[in-house]
Amino acid sequence: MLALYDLAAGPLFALALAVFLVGMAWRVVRFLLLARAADPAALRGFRPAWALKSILHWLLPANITARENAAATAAGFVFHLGVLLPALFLQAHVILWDQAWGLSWRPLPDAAADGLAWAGVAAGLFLAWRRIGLAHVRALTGPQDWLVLGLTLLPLLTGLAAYRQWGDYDTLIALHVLSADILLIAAPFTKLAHVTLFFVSRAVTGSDFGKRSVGAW
Amino acid sequence: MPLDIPTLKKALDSRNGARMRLWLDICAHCGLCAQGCHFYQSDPRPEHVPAYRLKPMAELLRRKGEVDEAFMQWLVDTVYGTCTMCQRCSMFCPYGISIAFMVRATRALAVSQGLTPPGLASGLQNALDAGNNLGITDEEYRETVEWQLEELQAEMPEAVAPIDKKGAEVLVTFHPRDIKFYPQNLYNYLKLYNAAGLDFTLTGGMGWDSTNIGLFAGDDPAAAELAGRMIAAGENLGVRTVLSAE
Repeated sequence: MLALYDLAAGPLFALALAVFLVGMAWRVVRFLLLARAADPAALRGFRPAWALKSILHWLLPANITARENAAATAAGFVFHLGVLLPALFLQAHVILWDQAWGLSWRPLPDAAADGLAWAGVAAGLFLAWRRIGLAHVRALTGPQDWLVLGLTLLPLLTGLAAYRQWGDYDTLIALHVLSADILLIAAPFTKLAHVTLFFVSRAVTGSDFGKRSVGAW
Repeated sequence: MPLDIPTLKKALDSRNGARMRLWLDICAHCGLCAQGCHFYQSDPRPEHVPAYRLKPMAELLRRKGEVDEAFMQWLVDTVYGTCTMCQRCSMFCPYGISIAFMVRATRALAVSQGLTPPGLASGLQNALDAGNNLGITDEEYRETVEWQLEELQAEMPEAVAPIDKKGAEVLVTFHPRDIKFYPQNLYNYLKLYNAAGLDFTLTGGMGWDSTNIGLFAGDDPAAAELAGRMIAAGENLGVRTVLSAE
């Protein structure tokens, strides 16, 4: 199991991170190339100020859906924060970054990271319930929606299990790192590509809204 | 009528552009768009969730255009029958996906197979033949304007409604409905423009119908033809602005 950990946290992680970064950048570049190929004038009317406004209103819960659908919005935000903040700021993760690249930043207290991760799991379960319990969401849901939700929850669950040593620590920590590698590799090729495409999509629509002066919503 | 699959594939290719791929790829199927839809709010069936309207396009791309007539009927029912392309759902979408844009692109696939719904197809034919979607003749149009201007002059003696006045500042256009069924609206428009001291002109013949049924139907060549007539009318008259009604 230690061999698996060394592989997953070493070369495989480096590969996963490279696939993630290059893949995510490629998704954005590909959009721009396709848009320009279809219409060289398409980018000329772009309104950066409106695009930015649109991104900010939706990066924060300052929009019409946050007001009218507070539960789903809260679940969405908690889910994202529960995944991202422990991933970047858990003390054990910060130490790994430091060891690998000599980059270091202020970690979250373990208890806070732990709480965030649990909240993330709870929010993920709520989002899963929406896909089962709400008829209109159920009708839209396909296999990939379950796949990406599962892929995102796996590092959280294995991380929590390893931290608490529910079972063999060496196995759990190897699975934890492996599941994170898989998540990073899958991201550019699935709906997880919204990591960067969210910004592209909101910029496109924000700019369009700007042309009509209808607000960022 | 059997489908013309090669034409369908070509239409599919031409619609599978940057935005289409972006939005089909990221739609998270969260269903939050339902909040914004008057179809869903009136009759909360799963098929009335705006994101559901992306299914025909996604499925066509998956099958590379190899579909049958029953499939195309489902497509027509979905993208013409459950959506007015009002864009309200985009207000509620966390990604800001323009479902109306994608519905219009999907309508173009129906157009490629001659499956435009009959009511829309006849309005479009009217617009192409007569210059407006209700098939109002030029004579009827001019008489209606004259009639409403006379009425208005009883209240506002100096009111004018010039037709094809060269060099006017603004070309005003109308929804044909206001000419045929609600001339009182025409009266009110004329009153407003006169009271505002606007240097305006109307235009006869082609180019005064501000609705573009080609755009609505998803028929790009027809949409370009109809928009082109309005642009031509404006350019011929040398106006600076075309005022669109609706």
